[in-house]
Amino acid sequence: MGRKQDIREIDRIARQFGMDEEQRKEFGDYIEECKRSGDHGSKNERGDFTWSELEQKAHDFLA
Amino acid sequence: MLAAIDLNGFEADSKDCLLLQAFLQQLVGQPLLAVRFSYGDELNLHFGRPQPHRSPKMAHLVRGQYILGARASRWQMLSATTAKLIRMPVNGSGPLADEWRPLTPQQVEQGDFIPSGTRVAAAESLALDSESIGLMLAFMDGSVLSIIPARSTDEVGVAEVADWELFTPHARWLRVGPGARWSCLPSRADEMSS
Repeated sequence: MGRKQDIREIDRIARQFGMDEEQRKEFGDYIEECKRSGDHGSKNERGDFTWSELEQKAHDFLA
Repeated sequence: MLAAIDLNGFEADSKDCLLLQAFLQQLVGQPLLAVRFSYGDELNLHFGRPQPHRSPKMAHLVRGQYILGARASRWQMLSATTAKLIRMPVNGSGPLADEWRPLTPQQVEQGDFIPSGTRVAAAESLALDSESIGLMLAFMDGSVLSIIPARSTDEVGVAEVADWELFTPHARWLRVGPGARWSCLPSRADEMSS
């Protein structure tokens, strides 16, 4: 069962950066890949990302 | 009388479950390509032929022609091959009863609980009640995936998140829920402006 709050944040960031739905989907995969490759966020012990970290990730993703 | 629907068509905020059922039939016969979790532990099943991601940042991973996302809904996978039931225990993140063996998302991805290449035998939307629509996928090996939307109205902003979704190779995005409503919308920006 997915964590609704985290999923909602990805959706909101995607909208903020003008991603279409396919890009939003890939962005969620990209963020998970970042975590798995050791690029963890500072939000919690799970390595989730803060809002500002997600914004930076969106910049990187779209660059 | 024979009739056809256009899988490239649009549908906004529909309550027509028979039409949703018709749209879902494009999954029947598609082979499972991969089981993968995305950020927020969302379960995603990829079906059909492997396709490149649009983003060069994701060039090392393939995606399916169809992607089914369970979003934040409850789901369960009944694996016929391994005779296992995989699901979030009823008590959530509480202690597991002895009969349950904990699994990580990576173990579910790599466990081949539904072997890659297994085709979808049937796809059925489930009108669970007047407030949600679930999904049941039956596979040719006897495995079954069910998605059961969680009813939670106590969080701020929950209405933004669909109960489940399906991306199709026709540049369409089937968004189901929240509530007993669904839409079939363009998934790409170039389609939105056409």
